[in-house]
Formats: sequence, C-alpha cells, structure tokens
Amino acid sequence: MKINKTTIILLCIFSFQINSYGQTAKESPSNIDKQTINEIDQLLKQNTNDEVDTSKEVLNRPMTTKEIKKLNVSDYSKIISDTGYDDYSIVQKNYMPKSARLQVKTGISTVTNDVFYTNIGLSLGAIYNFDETWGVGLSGVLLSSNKGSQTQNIKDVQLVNIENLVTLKNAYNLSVYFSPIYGKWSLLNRQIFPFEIYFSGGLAQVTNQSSEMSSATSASIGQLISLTRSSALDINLQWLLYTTRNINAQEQSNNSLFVAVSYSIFWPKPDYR
Amino acid sequence: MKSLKFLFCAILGFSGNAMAAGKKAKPAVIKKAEASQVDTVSASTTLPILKQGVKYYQQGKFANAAVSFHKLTNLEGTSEDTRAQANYYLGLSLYNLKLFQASSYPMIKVIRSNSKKFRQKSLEKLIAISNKLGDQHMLDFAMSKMQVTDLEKLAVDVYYYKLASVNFDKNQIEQTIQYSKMSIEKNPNSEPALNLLALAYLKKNDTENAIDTYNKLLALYAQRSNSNAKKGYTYLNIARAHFQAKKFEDAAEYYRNISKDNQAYRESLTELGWTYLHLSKLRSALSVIHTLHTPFYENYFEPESLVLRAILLNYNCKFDDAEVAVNTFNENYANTLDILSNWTSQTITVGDAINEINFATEILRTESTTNTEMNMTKNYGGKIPFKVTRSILKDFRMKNIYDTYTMVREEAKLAHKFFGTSKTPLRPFLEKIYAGRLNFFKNQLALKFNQVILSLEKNIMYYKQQMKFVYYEILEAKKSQLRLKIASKDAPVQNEVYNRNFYVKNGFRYWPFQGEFWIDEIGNYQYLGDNLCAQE
Repeated sequence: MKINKTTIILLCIFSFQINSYGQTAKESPSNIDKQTINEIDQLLKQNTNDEVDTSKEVLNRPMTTKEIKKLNVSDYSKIISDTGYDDYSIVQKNYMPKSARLQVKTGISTVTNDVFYTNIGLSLGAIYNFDETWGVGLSGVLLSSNKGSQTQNIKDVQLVNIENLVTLKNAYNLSVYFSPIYGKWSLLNRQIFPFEIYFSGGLAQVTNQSSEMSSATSASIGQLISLTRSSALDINLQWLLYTTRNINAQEQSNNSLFVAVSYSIFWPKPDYR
Repeated sequence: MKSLKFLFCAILGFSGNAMAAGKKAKPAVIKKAEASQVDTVSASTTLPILKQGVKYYQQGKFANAAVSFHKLTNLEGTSEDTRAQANYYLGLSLYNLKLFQASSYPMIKVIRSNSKKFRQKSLEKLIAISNKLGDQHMLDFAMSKMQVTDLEKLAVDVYYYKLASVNFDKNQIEQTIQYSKMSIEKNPNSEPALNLLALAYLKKNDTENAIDTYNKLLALYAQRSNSNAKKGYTYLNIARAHFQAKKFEDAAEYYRNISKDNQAYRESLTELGWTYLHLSKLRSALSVIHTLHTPFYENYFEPESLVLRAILLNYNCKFDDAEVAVNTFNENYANTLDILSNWTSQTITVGDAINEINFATEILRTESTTNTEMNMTKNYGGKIPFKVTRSILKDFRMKNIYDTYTMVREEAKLAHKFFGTSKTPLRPFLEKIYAGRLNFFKNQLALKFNQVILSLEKNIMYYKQQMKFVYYEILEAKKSQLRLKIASKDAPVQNEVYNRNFYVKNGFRYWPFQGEFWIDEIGNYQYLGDNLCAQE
C-alpha cells in the first residue's frame, strides 16, 4: 500500500490532537493528590456540617414573574404626591458661594450690532462679590476691527468715504452687579450645573477707532454657570450707550451690543464644608 | 527518508493517543509501574527534580517550578523531609502565581507532617493565605496548629484576636475583652481587635469604653477620605454606642458626620430618624426619612423607614399622610413577604440560591458604570425581588463568604490560564482543588442565603405587625383629634411662610419641593409641615 505524504501529515496532526483532547478529558489527579485533597477538604469543612439539600426541586411559586418584577423596586410615588408639597423644601449648601470672593474673568467678546465692521476682542474683568446678591466690578473690552465685506465694497466700488463711521476700539466700565435668580441645569440626566442670572449697570469709558474717548452708560445681563466650586462659565450680553465724535468731528449717538463668553475664577476657596 | 520521518511521527502520535485513552482502562499496569518506582526512588532521582524546581523558582518561573515540585510530592518513597520541602515550595510557587487557595493545600500538608523545618514557615504562610482569602475555617485550622513556641515568631496579635473572637462567639465577654486587649497591646493598630473590643464593651453595656475604643479606631482612619467605608461605619458604630447610652444628641452628631457618598450613609438615615424621634425633633426626623423615599433608594430594602414615617406623621397629626405611608408599606412589602415565605417554606436547591445571587450581582456590577439600572431591574430574572437580594448580599453572614467565593472563582480562572493546557499531573490536582472548594463555597452561600432570607422574613413580619399597631394608633388619634377640634374650634392652621433669603444669605440654596427628584438633593430635604394636633 502506498501512503501519500499529505495523508500522513494530516494523520499525524490529527492523532496528536486526539491525544491532547484525550488527556484533557480523562486525566484525574494522582492517588496521592486525591488523598491530600480529600483530607484537607474535610479539614476546611470543619464546623460546617449543615449542607443544603440539593436533592429536591423547587416547586412552582404562586406569584407570577410579572408580579415579582414589580417588587424589584419600591414605589414611593404616592408618598411623594400625597404628601403636601408645601410640607417639604430642599435646603442645600451653595455649590459655588460668591460671598466675599473676588471673581476674575477673561474671555472673548464681539459686537453684534455693528453692520460695517467685524469687531472681536479680549474681554477682561474683576468683580468683588459682597454677598450672594451684590457685587461691584471693573471690566474692559479690547477690540480689533475689520471692515466688513459690504463696507469694503462701498469704499472700493462706490467710492464712499466710510472713515467717518464710528466703531469702538475699547471700552472700560465700572458696574454694580445684582444676582436675583438662581437655578440648575441637568445635562442629559448625568451632570448638574448650578447657575445664576445677574444684571449689572454702570458707567463706562469708550474709545473709538479715531482714539476719541467718551463716556457711556452700560447695562448687562449674564449667566454664571458653575463648573467647580471656584470656577464658572460666564455668558454676558452688554449694551453700551454713548455719544462720540467721528473723524469729521461730528457728534454721533451710538450704541454697541456686546456678547462675551468668559471663564471666571473665584478666590479665595470657600472655607466651609 | 522523508517518508520514514512522517511515518515515525504518525506512530508517535498514535501511541500517545493510545496511552491517554488507556490510562483508565489499565489501572493494574500503572500501579505496577508506580510500585516499581517506589523501590527505585532515591536521592539521585529526587535531587535533580528539586534542583530544577529551585532553579525555576529563583528565575521567577513559578509555573514551571510548581510543576517540578508537584512531581516530587507525588514520588513515592521519598523521605518525609524532602516531600515536605517539595510541598512547601509548591505552595510558595502557587502563592506567587496568586493561586492562594491552591497554595494552602501543600502548606497544610506540610503542617500536618512531622517536618519541623518547614512546618513553622508553612504556618506563617497559611495565616497570610487565610487573611488574603478571608477564609475563617482556614484561619481556625492554622490557629489550632499553633504552639506556644510559635508565638514569638508568628503574628501574636492575630492569635489573641482569634482567641477573643472564639470567646465572643461563646458569649464570654470578659475573656473577649481580655484577649482583645492583649491583641491590641501587641498591635495597637489592629482594626479587627479594636472593633471586637468595642463590640464586647457594648454587649457588656459599657458604652463609655466602647466609644473610647471606637474613637481609637476612628483615629486610624483620620487620613482617609470621608467616602471610605470603614471610616463611615466607624462613625455609625460610635453613633450607635451613643444611642445605646441614651446620649441622643451625641448620637445624632455622629450620624450626621457620615458623608453622603459613604456606603454607611443610607443605613444611618433610619437610625438618625429614630434618634430625632427620641429627641422629639419630629421635623428633623421626617426630613431625614424623606431621602430614603426618593427614587434614588427605591431599589433598597427599607420597610423600617416606612414604619417610622407613619409614626412620625401620626405624631404630627398628619393622618392622611400617615395612612399613605401605611398603604405604601403594604403595597411594597406585603407581597415581598409572600415571596419570602414561599421561598423558606420550600426546599431550595443550591442552584436556585446561586442564580438569585448571580442575577443581583450582575446588576450591582454594572450599577456604577451604567445608567441602565432601572431597565435591568425591570428585566430582572431573579425570583426574589432585587431590592431584597441586594440587602442579603450586604448581610454580614453572606458578605465574607461571598467575597471569598468570588476570589476563589477568579483564582480558578487564573489556574486554568496557567495550567489549562498543561499535560502534567498538576493540572488535575488544581482542578480538583478548585472544583471542590467552589462547590463548598456555593453550598455555604446557598445555606447563608436561606438563613438571611429567613431572618428577613421575620423582619418584615415584625414590621407588618408594627404597621398594624401604627394604623390602629392613627385611627385612634384621628378620633380623639376630631373630638378635640369640635370642642375647641381653634384648630391650628398651617400658614407659616418661609423666607428663602435667610438661606441664600447663609450660603445655602432653597428650592421648593414639587415632587420632582434631583440627585444632588439627596439628604437635603427639609420637612416644614406644622404639627396639626389640637391641644386639650
């Protein structure tokens, strides 16, 4: 009989496989090992003679699975709804107290109502909070202005002089802050962010692109979203009303509406909790 | 020539196969071979194996070392000292592979042998293993084998602690105190000894010393974070000791020290509620209890808090609310009692109990990582409500044995990883050890599971009875209040207005409660309801 090489290789591999499977399935510990294990098993089982009877099966229970599932969690809805809501309130420690803390903020600001120029710049500020409701602060905006495409078009194509249009270079203001509203956001039921809504009003000094300085009145509304106990995200909408002179020395009444997004740090650390 | 090589290979394979298959079929032949080995075994045979094993061990190849030492332990005719040495090193090798349960077997073998050289070392190692596994029976065995001469070198504090523990089990409190103190003298930082000593003092009703001892224990945890479970439970125990001493103000102070993110927090709430009741601070008590009745704790076993709620509301003459508490108790726990009664009235298999444990642990395992707990709970496969099983798993009777079972189960997987494909006799040796131990632990788990269910069943029955008394009290109080109100016509009216500015100015946030649930409000509920009882 002629044996093919491939057949032999396959046979060889197959037989080794059978060999290893056979050993895995049928091997048992040596007699010495068995004796050792049995003796020590008994030693470690001392004082634990009571074993569960495994011979009997469990009978069917009267309650249905659906009924039992209902009991996996307790239902307190009636307690919560029937108890007068007025009887309960929640008093919790302020996550980010502001009282007697200095807030320093920096961010990006832009003027939203200037149709001829695109203004974007740096917003800076420092506010001292006397308590949770009142504070006083200095803030400033340093702007960089670019002519909008329409403005450029007017100048290039229609040859209209636009230099007399007023746009701001910077603004500084001293304001009083009032925070009457607080609340909290829930982000996808995973995280809770406490926030405050504040109002501020004060006086400002503005400088236009012609370096003409003038005074202004400012008012703002903003939201402070607490990120940690000492930091917050500040979203602020500020309105400045002022009269300034353009390049032709003409007095012009104007107003600018700023939107600023800033990151605030509070100092010192709250000393309680 | 090549063909010849293939042929040889094939024959070798077949013969190996035949040997494997024929092992069981021809035991007589194997025995004969073993017998002939006995006669021929000598130092010249054992020494090379021992040397090889030691070499592997020194190189850090513990799996190979274990195989060599195990081979030596199975050679009949070797001297007892050599066998003990081989067993000791086998144990050490397995210990280094983190197969602690398996390593205990050769160690015990050495301890039971007459080998003086390795006996003491093995005892030390066995105590370490039992501590790692938390296996009380193993520790019992090690302790029973200890002699006075061993005391200088072995962990004396553990020895005295064990003696104290045995005495405590026998309710011999004076001896428990004596041995615990001896243990603490040797090791002032022994946490279990301090705990046991405090517990013994409490049993003796010597609350002052118990509080002192718990404070010493608390000092050990000073640097740990407030979320540390041991720290939380020590606060809880100090509060309980104060409660036992009827120092309710102090008890409340310690209960309040437990941080909200601590495991002990939930347990402290009902107890703090009772403490406030003793202090007649009904509003504070109701404030505390409300946290337990939010969705955050809806899958916990909390019948006692409902009883307390009903009592407190009844004292405040809020009869309708008190009745709601009674009805909620009945809806949530009357059926649970039926399920548990059914369970205890029938013979439960080990498999049944283990299934229940597995269903609950699967949810608990993913609880911290996913937000799908509610869905999982709805699709829960257990026959006992999840909230009950999770309480059973936390019961002290279950917890230790379950922890050990989990460790041994993981070890069995590790052993399979190391030796699963090995063809040495060590593999079946390890498999048998782990199969036996896992079976033992499962059996114990099932037993404890049923014991805890029995006590929970009694627990609910007791609260059910209490709730009946409370309901009776509610009806009685309702009647007498009606009489008083008709007579006096000046029934108190709830009209208090709370100024939230007060809270805001003092570093707090005040929110009106409208039945909604926010997780950050846990523990911050304030009951502001007035006492509506008419006075005579």
